[in-house]
Amino acid sequence: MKSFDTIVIGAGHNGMTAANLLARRGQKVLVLEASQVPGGMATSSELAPGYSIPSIAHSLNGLDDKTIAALGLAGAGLRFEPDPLPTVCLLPAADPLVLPNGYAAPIPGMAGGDQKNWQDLLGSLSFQAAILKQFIASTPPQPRERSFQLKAEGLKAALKMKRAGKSELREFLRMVLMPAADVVQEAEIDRRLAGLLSFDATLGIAVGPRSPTSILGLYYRLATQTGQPRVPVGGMAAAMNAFHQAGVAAGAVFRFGTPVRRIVVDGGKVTGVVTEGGEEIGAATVLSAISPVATFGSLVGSRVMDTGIVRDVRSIRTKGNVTKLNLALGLRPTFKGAGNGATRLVFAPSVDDVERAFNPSKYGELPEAPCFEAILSAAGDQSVPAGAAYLSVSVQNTPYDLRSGWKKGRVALMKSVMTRLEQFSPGIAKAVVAAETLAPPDIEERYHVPGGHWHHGEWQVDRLFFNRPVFGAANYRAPIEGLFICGAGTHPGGGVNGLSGLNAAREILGAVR
Amino acid sequence: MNKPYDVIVVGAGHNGLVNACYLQRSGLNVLVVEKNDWIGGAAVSRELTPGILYSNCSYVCSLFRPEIMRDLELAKHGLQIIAYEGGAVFKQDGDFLASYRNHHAHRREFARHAPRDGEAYERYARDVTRQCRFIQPLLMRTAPDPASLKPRDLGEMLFLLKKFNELTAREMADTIRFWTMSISDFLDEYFEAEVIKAYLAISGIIGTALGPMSPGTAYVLLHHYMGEVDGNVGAWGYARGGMGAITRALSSSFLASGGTILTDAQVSKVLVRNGRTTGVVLENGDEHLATTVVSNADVKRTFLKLVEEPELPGDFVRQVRNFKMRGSSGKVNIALDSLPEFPALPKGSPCIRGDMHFTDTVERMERGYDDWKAGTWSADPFLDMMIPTTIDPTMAPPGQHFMSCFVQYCPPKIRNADWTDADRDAFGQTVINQIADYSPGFKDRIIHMEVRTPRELEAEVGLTEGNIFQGELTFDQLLFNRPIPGYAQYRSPIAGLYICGSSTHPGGGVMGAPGRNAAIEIMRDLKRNASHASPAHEIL
Amino acid sequence: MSMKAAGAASEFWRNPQWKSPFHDRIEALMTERHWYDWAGYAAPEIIDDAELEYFAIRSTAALFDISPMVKYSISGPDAEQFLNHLTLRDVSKLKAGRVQYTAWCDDDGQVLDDGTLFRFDDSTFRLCCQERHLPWLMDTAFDYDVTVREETDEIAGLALQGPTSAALLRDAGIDVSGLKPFQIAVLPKSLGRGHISRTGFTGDLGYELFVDRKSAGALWDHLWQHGTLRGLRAIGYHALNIARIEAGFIVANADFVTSETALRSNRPRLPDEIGLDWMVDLTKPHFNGKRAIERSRQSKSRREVLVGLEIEGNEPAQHAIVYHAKRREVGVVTAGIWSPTAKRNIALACVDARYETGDNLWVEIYALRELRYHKLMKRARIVERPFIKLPRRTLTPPGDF
Repeated sequence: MKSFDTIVIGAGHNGMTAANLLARRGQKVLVLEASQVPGGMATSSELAPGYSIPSIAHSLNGLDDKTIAALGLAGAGLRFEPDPLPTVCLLPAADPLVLPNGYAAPIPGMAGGDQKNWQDLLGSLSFQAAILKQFIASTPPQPRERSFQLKAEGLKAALKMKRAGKSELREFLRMVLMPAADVVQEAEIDRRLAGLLSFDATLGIAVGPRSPTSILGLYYRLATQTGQPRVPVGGMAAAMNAFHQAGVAAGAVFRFGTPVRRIVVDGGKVTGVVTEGGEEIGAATVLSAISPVATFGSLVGSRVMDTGIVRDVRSIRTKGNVTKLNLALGLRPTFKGAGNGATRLVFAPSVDDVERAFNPSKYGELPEAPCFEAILSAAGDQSVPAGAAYLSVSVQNTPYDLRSGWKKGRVALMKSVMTRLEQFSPGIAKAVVAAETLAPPDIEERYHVPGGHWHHGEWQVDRLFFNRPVFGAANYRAPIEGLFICGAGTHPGGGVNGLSGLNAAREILGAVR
Repeated sequence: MNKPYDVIVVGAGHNGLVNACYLQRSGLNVLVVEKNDWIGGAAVSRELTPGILYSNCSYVCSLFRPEIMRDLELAKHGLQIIAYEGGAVFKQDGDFLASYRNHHAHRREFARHAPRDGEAYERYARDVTRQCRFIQPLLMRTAPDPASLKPRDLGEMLFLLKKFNELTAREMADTIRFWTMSISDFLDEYFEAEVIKAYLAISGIIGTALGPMSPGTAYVLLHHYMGEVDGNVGAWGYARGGMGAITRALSSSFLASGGTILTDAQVSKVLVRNGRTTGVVLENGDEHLATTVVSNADVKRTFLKLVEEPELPGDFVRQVRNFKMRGSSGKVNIALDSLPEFPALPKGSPCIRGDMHFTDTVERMERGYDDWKAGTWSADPFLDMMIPTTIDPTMAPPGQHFMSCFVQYCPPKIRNADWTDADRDAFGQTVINQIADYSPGFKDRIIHMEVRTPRELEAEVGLTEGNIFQGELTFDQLLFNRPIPGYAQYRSPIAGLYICGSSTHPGGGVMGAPGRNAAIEIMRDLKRNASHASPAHEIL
Repeated sequence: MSMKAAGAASEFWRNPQWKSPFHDRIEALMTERHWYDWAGYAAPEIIDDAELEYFAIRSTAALFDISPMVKYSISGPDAEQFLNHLTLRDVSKLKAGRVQYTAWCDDDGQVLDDGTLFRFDDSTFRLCCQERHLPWLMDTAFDYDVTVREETDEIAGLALQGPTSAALLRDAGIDVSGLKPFQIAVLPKSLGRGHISRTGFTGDLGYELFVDRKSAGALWDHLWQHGTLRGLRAIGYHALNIARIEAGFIVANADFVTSETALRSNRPRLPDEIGLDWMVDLTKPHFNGKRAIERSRQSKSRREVLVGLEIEGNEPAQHAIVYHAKRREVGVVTAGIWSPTAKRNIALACVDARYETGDNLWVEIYALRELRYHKLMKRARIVERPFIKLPRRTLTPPGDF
């Protein structure tokens, strides 16, 4: 039997990040990946001959320079498009609102008062997000823990607030769990921007902008986003290949097409894994970078776990709410406001529109007017044939448990989104060469994520920090000796940022030391 | 010119009266001014049709703090509370879920709907009780200002942290979850039967402009459960003679200690000179002077209507404007010539002497909330219906009955326009129709009815937007955030002007705690002995 | 919409205290009319005379209705593995036709309850206990091929305890001569579908009989008829409680607080803290609480111990405070009686683990006599449990008394 120090299950960005770091510290690391390519939900696939389209995730907003350097990603070929990714807010019966570079002000053509309100709001949100950031880039503090690390983080956060003054502290404590809708309303920002922020706050989470706590989605975006939103050269597949190459360079061994059947636990300790092929591979440490529900439910099994934690894991709300529509287009469509570069299109005209689209999803129904974001590939993008383009669309509020069934739902949703796109880019439907609809059940099946949730489990306050994924497994440690977990289902959550992989690797190194 | 008082309390609601009672008993000379020609604010019994008393606003008594009842001798002043019996949710399939006072009957009834749920209730009750035990000591304390370095704030912060620190790690994690979850998600972790979840979700949404699927509603549950924690026997009940009996006892207690009440006295302005209050001026032009003025009105009414804007810091006014009121409920009060029948209930069921509901799924409640968000009342509303005369015959002539229907959701405006009388009648009809679906011949029994939308609540009782809690109970408006960060200790930017209504910590429910806590702060400022205000009961 | 009543099945408010299948027979014997609530059933505290009832347990035979005990039927191919996951002891060592006294814990190793586990055959079990655990059992069963069903109301139970119980049963046509302690036998068909086991809660020779509800009355009458010459008496909990304390048995939520009902998180206890350490089998496959119990043993974090005390004097010390050196409060008496058989003042107590050696322990007893308290500070000694050990309890074949 072959043996490694650590076996990493799943070559998503978090798994590869952890493997890279562990290998750099001299560990013998094996990464086992079910599919043939690295990246998990953050890769690209060939939708039609010559079209490589982002499967699920379509931008690399959260990956910061520190991580890129720590993993040697630049050396492995990770490059970003030089131009910032503009956001074009599509508005019915009006000209679009264009944000040339993420949220960065100023916004062309906006009145001074609106401009100021926008900047003021961003200022306070960024300040508040920065406080939370202290706790995002490391293992979440455990309740009753009195470690040096926690004290240091707490102190840093406290100092930050102290420096900002009384009113900022009070404002933080008031706003931190507010509905996004109330925040934007109080700030009196332009209603188009209010729509955009409501959408950004709630995308991928089963809340509406009027739900209390929905502002957290925005904090998370701000806290994990460093500088400008970025698009990798060569698409997501190229970025994930860079993760893979960097991991190989660090010394980790990767095996693709090797799904794991189970994690072997003996006497309360992990001893290795058994692959679907029946091969047993030994390791004293296993890091599972897949969905925690899949890890505990399928790979470990409840028979070696206590009932309380099994109960907790089963209460994780795993049902996804986002459908991915991928369109291969023979011609690059024109959208007012979009230039030649890659462009983010958002349809979320107002807070009410976002909230209204959320309502039916609570009952397993599709919204009449779904809100969505889409990435339109740059003119000349090498991942599509010359003159062609792709549109990668994430549609919000499309529930896993669709009452009328996804068979009809896929068709209906594609139709309703295409109708909307036609409004802004007449003729786009005719340009479609190939299309696919990945509803949450499809994501579940293709990526082995129970529920097909972006975050592997609802990203809401009751499942954050020391409750993510559940109390008792929140510090990347499972309640089984030698078993660790990372991935979107763990702190701090989803988004292509590698943070949980980094944190988990540190925990493993700390534990073996 | 009238003789000056030490303190003027604006509004004779229950919190205003509690506040006035404590202040008068500390030796201050207190005047209560009330705009209506009756007292009680939203805790009233009114004879709207001959012989029948209506608890036409608040309708049950659960949270009124026993310490206050004792301090102000309310039993001596005639307050009698009658515990009510059970309750029921009528299901659309003709069955019902009953809630019984007896533990085993309750468990068996739950088990009838889902065997597992009967036994799950024990863990649920334990977990909720644990949360109540944690939060209850905070009700009768002034919330600390976390941004302040004053010894008292630091001390109170320390108390909060100490309370939190007494929890185990698991309890801390659970507490954070409980405070932030939706009641729907919370219940899903315990129960299987839809009707049981619907029944228990009620307490998470009553009075709030949130749906059972909104995060933060599990916490609201506590505002309806807390009454029962410290072995408060008969905590849930009717006040004999209607809710007005509470304010009647309070006013009797107040007058007995030498206080003065002026009714029909609408305050038009709080007088301010050099940043200090000097009294109030009434609509009729009368001035009443006092160096301390306490407003029982909600925070918006107090600072946006009763005080001239230039007297207040701009930032403060902005924050008051941003305070979320959001009325979400209405009330339909009905006089009946006979006891209605509910054929679904077995003969002799005690459920008719408790709270009854017709919403048997969480989804129906949530859809009702969607209607509210869209700016209209729920087409399929949620009713909290009771017939107090089944246990308190003093409220109606023999054989006749008073029925109170609390209705959710009901917006302060209809699609941004004011309510019309036609809207109001249509809303009332929606409610009557729902009841009649489960009670044959119901409509024929009606002698008189009163439909109260947020418009009526605002016009008559002065609750801005008709919010029964004088402001939403969301995190951004709780504890040190209630009503405004930095002004959560009953004081205002104007020296001598205080607020004591449910807009302040700990918020709504006929609890009396805001009035009492505010009185303690005022007595502290005026250097009065406050030993007649007993501390909160200790929880062992 | 149908508006008809859901029927009598839902009229639970009428009789919240249910009647056990033996209720009428017990009521007919009752002179004291002293009922208490046992898990939603009316149960007798005293039937006639508590002292005579106690001596029936120790000198002749006593009949005690155990129908209200919470019972779960557990069956299926994975039943053994499921129960091994659930409980502390090794269920694979429990042979068909035998009974195991056991306990189960939550993730933190805190005891959820104790109870008796009956194994009827390879795949059929019954778990009897004090508290209700259906959600916990179902959540534990999640990954096992097993059916868990609550059957409290369907199964009637009688404890027949005392020196003449075996002879009585023989007279009644039930041969228990070969039945060893903790062994189960099938009842003769003529008495209904049911089992008899040599178990009990008295520390004496005794048996427990379980039959389907409809056979209950006839079973009682049958035993009663053969009991006349054997000094059979129906007894209430008062007498049984004295016997169980003498035998050193603990009662959930009397001698320890079960972890799913505790309002105060520091009240539940590990098995090691309530004298159940001997049950914990760390060599068997994974079970609930294993990790926590191992850790607590490693870190020696046991806070309390449950001990038997012998207290000087004869004043019962129920709920008295235990002191070290008369000054430092170190525990509480959970059950204290004057033992009529041992003729000693005995007690069960939870004591701070640092004082488990028992040196210099004292108990402060407040004895109320005609409206005046006599405050007694009495020396207490830790003694072995059971406080009385009767050879007849285990002798097989049983003696003929």
